[in-house]
Amino acid sequence: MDTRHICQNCQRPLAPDTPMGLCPQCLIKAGFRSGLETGTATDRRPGFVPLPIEALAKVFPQLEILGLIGQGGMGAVYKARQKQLHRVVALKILPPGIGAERGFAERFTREAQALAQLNHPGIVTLYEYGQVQGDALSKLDSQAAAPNPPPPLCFFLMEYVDGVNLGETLAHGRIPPPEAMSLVAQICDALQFAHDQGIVHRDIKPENILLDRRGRVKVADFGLAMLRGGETEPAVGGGSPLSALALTEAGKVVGTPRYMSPEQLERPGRVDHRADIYALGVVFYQMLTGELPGRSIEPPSQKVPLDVRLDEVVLRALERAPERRFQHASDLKTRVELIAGAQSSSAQAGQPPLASGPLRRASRRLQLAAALIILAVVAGILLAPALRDRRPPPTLADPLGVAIQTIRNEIGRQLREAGATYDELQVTLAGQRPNGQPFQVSYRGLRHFKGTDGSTPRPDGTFRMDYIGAGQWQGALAGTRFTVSVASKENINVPFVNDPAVLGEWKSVDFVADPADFDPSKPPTAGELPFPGITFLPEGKTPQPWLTWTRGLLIHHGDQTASHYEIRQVKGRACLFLEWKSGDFTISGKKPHYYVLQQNSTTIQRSNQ
Amino acid sequence: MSASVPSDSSSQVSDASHRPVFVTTHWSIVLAAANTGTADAQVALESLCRTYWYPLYAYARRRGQRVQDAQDLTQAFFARLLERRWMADADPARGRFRTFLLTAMSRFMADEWDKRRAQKRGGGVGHVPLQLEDAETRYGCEPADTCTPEQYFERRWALTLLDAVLQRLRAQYEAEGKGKVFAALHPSLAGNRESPPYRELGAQAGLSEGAVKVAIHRLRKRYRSLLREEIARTMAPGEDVDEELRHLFAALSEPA
Repeated sequence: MDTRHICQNCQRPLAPDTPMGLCPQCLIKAGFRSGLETGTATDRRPGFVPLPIEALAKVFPQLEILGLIGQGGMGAVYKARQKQLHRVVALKILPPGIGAERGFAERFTREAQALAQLNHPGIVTLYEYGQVQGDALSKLDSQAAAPNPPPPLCFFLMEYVDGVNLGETLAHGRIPPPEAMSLVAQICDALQFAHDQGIVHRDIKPENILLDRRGRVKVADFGLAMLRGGETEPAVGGGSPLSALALTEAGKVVGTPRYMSPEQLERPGRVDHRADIYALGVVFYQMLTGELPGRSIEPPSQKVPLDVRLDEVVLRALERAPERRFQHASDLKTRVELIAGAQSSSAQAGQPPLASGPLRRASRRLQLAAALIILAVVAGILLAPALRDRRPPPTLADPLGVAIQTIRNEIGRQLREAGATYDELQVTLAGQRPNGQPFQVSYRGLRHFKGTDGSTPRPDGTFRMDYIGAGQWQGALAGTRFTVSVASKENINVPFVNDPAVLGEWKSVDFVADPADFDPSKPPTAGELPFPGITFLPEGKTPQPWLTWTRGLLIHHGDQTASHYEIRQVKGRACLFLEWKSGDFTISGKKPHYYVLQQNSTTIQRSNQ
Repeated sequence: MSASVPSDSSSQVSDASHRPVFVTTHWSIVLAAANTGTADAQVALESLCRTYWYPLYAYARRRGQRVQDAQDLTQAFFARLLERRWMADADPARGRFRTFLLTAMSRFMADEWDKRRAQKRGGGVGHVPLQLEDAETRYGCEPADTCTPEQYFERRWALTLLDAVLQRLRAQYEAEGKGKVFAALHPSLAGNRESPPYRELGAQAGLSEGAVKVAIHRLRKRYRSLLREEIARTMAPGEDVDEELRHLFAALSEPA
């Protein structure tokens, strides 16, 4: 890309085709509604107005609707009472258009089921969820001319929190540091609990942090951001990656801009729980200083009299690169508790207490302990006498298992970030016992990851891995050698050469609606391709021509295309079927096309554009 | 070669008391009038096409069409669109203009290859003047990169939109006799923190130093309003401007 200029504001290179020479991304950013303004008239979602209580009461006969509590981008919230249980609840109604989106029903069910697992004092509990027919509401929809039946109304029944949200509190100014630290610690508990279940909030902001009358924190709207079409976490263990991908709409950014981590804005498909940590950092900053952090983040202690150790916590949570932040909400909490003086052990930066309180509890916090233990392994101090394969999560009693778990997580993360694709990850750890004898331990696990090619992961200073060929990495962690084997298991009947060369030239033969209908013996009807030629490459080899088909689902661009290919044997010939679906519009009467192509020659060559 | 500015982009969407109001954003009008084809809808559709045709041309070229074919395709596509042949098929409940356009265009291109028809220059093409002669020059200046046609279209769309908004903003300022103010202060729209000192800007803008800060604030406010308005123009009922903004941001962030 031609980089004659750099944007002064965001440091990104400026292409020559920018509007009036200004940075387009900064221009877009300038268009967001700021958190505290009410916005102009055009901001209101056209057609979506909060429903009058009488209409709602008809749809939910089992509830007594007490009033409208609030309204936001994700719908309207009402206070209600369950008639049978006499329990006061919060009823959240999502905007009507949402139910009709592609893939929504699956996301909705899946998210709600996951949310229902979040039973934690710091998280607003989900009681029920579902969809109701909104017939009574169609007259209220301003687009009553629509001939289609009104889409079903999606609702959540949740715990009602009698109190305020943090946004309202912050509107009155800063929060004293002791209170702020106490709130943050509670939020960390809630976040860690959810992260342990594999749920990322994605929209942490003051409005979503509720405070009840006893000053207890309740985090609301967990995972609801996903319903707007955000990408889900990679399938953990079970669940085929294809189905997970089928429901994502990668490229869609969800969240509130001011609290969104850089990766949420730039690479929404690669967001993990550390985005929540970033958002928490913004909220923490806001609590301490009364303001949002600016582009160059001024340490809070310079704005407000504070313990300077808090600066480090806030700034670390706000690191641009996720790997530089706290890796777990519980780590953040531990730091904050130390500073708050809750523990009498040494409070030197970076030295967490090993034997005391927090680290003994949840096994997930072992990452911190593991780092120490690995160093200890090298020093030959803490080696366990018996070596055995352990499945995660290991306990403190098995330091080597912990080490393997840590390495495995680190490798997985680094590979993921480098865009590696693999099905099996095997970690072999080799080192020396205190008595000089060598040892070797292996761990094998299955993971599904999507991505491009397996290039060398970035070193992060303490952990380095080198690619040594054919899915093997070796590295050293604090002096201990290890080898990682990455094996790919793919079943395809057609010979699929997994080398950097191009697979061949393919010419279009026909368009069919269903691959099963294709009969290669019939003369072709279509003739020429609409594009000059497909180069079929193994996943993500660069440089990529503009048309590259990856295995499985091609993550679409924006919210446009979702395409996939299959190679099938039809009457003894290998045929490549490309399906190309576009957008969320279905033009009625047209089914998705399959472009059928047949291999033209056996020579490996690159097609010309 | 900028898009011309339609003067009728009113879009009152709601009033303060939250009563349901009739939606008047352009694309919503078009969708609502799917079968009946009112004059308002036709005007709205033409206005949208006038602004956003170039990303489609670029898309067609990106898909490998030769210059002449891309010109013909784009021309024919819009002619067909304006004859409202596809409006009946569009789902009126959802979908914004941007996605509709891309989908319809890709279908159109696939259909054309299906039928292998000689391109017909549709009747009534004079409704929407597409400056096709200049289009290729414009396309030739674009940075060559390795993204897909769809990514390309999305990026082009975002840039076209921004361009249209900035041109409109400039036109407004010039109409109010404040052309110098716009010329001096428009870099502040990208949030430039390291702009020249206000005194210098004031000299360029013909304003006092103190007035510069206010002028910048007003300019930004008006820009934001125009940008959101323009986006809303292409939204369907039930859609969120902020969501589209985020999408556009992501589209511009694609590695080029």
